[in-house]
Amino acid sequence: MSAEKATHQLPTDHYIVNVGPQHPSTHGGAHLQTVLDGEIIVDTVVKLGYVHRSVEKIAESKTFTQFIPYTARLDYLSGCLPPLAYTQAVEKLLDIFPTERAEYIRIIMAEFSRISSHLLCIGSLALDLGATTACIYCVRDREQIMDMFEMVGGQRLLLSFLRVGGVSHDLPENFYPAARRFIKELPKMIDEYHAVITGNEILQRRLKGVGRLSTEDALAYGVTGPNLRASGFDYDIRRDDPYGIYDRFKFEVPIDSGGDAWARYLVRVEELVQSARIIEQALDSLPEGDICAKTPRLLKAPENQDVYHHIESSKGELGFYIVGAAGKDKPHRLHVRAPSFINLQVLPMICRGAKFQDLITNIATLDPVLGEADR
Amino acid sequence: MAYGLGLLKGMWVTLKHTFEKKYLVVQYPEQRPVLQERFRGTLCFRFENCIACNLCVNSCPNKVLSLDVAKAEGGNKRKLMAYVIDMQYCMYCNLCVESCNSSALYWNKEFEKSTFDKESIKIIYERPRYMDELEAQREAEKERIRQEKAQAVSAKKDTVGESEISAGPSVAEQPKEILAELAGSEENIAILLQVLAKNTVTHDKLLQMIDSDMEKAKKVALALVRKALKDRHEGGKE
Amino acid sequence: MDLWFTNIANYIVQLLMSWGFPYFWADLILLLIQWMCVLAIVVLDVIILIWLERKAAGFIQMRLGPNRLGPFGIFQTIADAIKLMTKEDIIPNKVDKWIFLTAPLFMIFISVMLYLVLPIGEGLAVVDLDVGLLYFLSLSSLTTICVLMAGWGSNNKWSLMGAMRAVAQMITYEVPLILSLLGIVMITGSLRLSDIVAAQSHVWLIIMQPLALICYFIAATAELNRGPFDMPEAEQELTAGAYTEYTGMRWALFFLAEYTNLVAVSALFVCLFLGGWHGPFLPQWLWIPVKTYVVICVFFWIKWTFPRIRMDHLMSFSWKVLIPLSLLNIVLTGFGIEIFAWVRGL
Repeated sequence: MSAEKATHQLPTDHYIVNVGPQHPSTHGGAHLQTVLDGEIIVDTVVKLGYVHRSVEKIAESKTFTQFIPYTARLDYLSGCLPPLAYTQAVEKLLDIFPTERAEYIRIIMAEFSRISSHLLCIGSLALDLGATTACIYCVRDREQIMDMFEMVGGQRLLLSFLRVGGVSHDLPENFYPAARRFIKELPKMIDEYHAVITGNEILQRRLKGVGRLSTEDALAYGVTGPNLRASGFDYDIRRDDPYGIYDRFKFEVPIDSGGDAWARYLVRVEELVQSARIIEQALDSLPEGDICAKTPRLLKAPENQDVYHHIESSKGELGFYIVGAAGKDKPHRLHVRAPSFINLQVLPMICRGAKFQDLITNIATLDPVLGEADR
Repeated sequence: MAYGLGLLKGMWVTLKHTFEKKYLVVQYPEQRPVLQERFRGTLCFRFENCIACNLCVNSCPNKVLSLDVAKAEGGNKRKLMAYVIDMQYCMYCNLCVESCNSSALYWNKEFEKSTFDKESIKIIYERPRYMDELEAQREAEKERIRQEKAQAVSAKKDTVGESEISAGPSVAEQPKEILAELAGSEENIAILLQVLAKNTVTHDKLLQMIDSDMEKAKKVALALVRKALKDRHEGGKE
Repeated sequence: MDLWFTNIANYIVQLLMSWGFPYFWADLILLLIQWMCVLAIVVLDVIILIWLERKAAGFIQMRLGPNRLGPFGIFQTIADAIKLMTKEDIIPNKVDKWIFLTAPLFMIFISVMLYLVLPIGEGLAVVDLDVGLLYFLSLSSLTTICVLMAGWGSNNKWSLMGAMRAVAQMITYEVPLILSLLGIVMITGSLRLSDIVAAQSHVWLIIMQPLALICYFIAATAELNRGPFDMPEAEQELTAGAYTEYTGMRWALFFLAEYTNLVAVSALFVCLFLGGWHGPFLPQWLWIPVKTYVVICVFFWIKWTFPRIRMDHLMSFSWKVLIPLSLLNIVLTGFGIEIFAWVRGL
């Protein structure tokens, strides 16, 4: 508590509440030390590190292949996306080219991961605002994706399915009908979300105008992903710096100039549709062939070289910076540019002066995953 | 009045779901979850298939697997005594299964693995008693096949006259130039042929290599000669 | 069949008087028995309601709800009650001990007292006060004091925030709550609840007072700290708010009181708008529970559909929408009564 004493007759004071690390709405182990003036937020300090597992250091003692399962534990909600960024970075370092079919399978899985992550984001936003049922509906639909992941890779959440040079398994036969059915049913699901979540006036009032983030601030803080697009800046790595085979697909990048929580929510809903579009195109043009390029058993970096590879993760620009040492099968140094970590930094700014309940709304719409923020 | 219409719409959706007889939940202990074919439950080990090559141990990111190997008495042969899977550290990444060449590792669908203490979560495969017998049998089988092959080769040599051009190819019948390229000096060629006569498998492989990749064949031949020389040298010492 | 309970009461009084009790004492003993009955009804209701809410929430969320203990999991609440009673009663070190300890007791006491004026059938109120409506409203707003006690006594910032919210909410919503009911009092000309019900023998007040109905329903939801207005608890923000520090039976008492309030307010709603005990086919003492449960289900339905409203929106909604609406309702009712009288006079 601040030591200042108010001089007027009714002394009032700011007080600090510790939101987290054990708090139901901090999406993991974030600790938000919040200074409150009644119900109004004066300031909040984001304290991270409760889920720190030193993944970047672990990478230095694991071979390139061995580190793949660890990357899935960064952003544990979007299954294939962090391994995709990592394997593509390694491929860049080692000059390996994945096979055609593997590229398509990767795209399909990556986009399904994005849908599952966004569904959970929408669901947990509803949950944090108190609409438990809407959350259950989102989780219900995400469950279909989890089942598909289990079909493909044997695991539901932390899918270690990607390999350097391709993927570990081919898509099973029962995957195609399941994927097609999901794509077909997605508009119906979104209609339901619109009925339960979007159309709800209470929720609209809680989201509109809350946590406004201007384009300039978003760029200055390095915010990326749906949060940046919701601030009106048109930037999507899938389109602007295509990796893999994203340049072959037609899709739109949803943008909203609102910059508030409502815009961030709407952008995510629209991205569901666009991801489904990409999956549909990929499924239609899926070529036959090998699922993994011929790679040596032990992958070794050919020379002292560093690479940076970034992808459009569900949270933003997810980058892997790898320094390879010549002839060694392990990275000399690895750094993860974690979008959750960087996006979370704007939280104090957009919360200042807002109501206490907006803090929860803002965390939910910024959609950080603390496993990625803390690494 | 538009305000409130969205609320009613949401209420209509929840009402519809209330009377929909469709449940998302599985009544777990009685009703079993439907598991996909590739579901990774528990890592299992086939003792008979393992050749104790250590590839799985090296491939594991988290040091889950460990081999307990003993040298068999009277030989250099590695003998697997126990295989330990420490499931508590397993990430289910499948890297060990992919690395195994003799399909000794596989997943089953057993997912109820909770135990009361940390130690009992370890899965230990002790060497089964029949393994000695099995290995002896296999060894005998290998020996039998080898002898049969050797017999067949010598029978062939007997039937086919030396002057005639042999129908079945053999390294010895290759043109002089190729042999010279393979092993170099006359002496080395002789040693090489000696070694190859003893080991039909290597012989066939080398023959294939001569056809496909001369460079590799050269390396292999040199290695064989060097090894034979070394063996002879050591034998001489004794 | 309609008069079973009145007959039983009369029989008891007569029996006691035949044993030589003076009338005063016989009446007092009858009152005690009625008190016991109210308590039994409350406990039974709460047991059923908790089960019902969990079941309803389950079905809305495409789950099954409790289904292990007994048929359809009906004994789940009893098992929960046993669990809560056997739990350790933790009293944190720095709490304001007496306030902390007595808050749940006051809460449950006040909630049960609400039932005394409710007419369950014709002549079936424990005490048929002539200011019954006023008594009910003033008493039900008292529960907020208990929430404040709990929040203040807990010496916890979250609890205090919850308590402050509860008080702000009560002050805001008490006004439209009472204003919306004034129309009814104007029409029936009485504050006695049995009179209000009796006045609805032909037409239910839901038809005459639709605006008041909406205002009262929203204000009552806020008053009950339920549904989209559960500010003081706010699981996702305040982590159970005022009740954060309570454990075991003390926490259960708050829970009990909340459901007791829910039944009482719903029953009042039935008495005021849905014709009370009037209804065809069923005996009159059965109509009130049936209608009450229907109203309660609507409360559940709303709670499990809507997100929580924000604190300042809640205030502004009350001051800017509900209070003007209920004032408008009073004006309209006044005009309506005058016009009705004029038409009749022609």
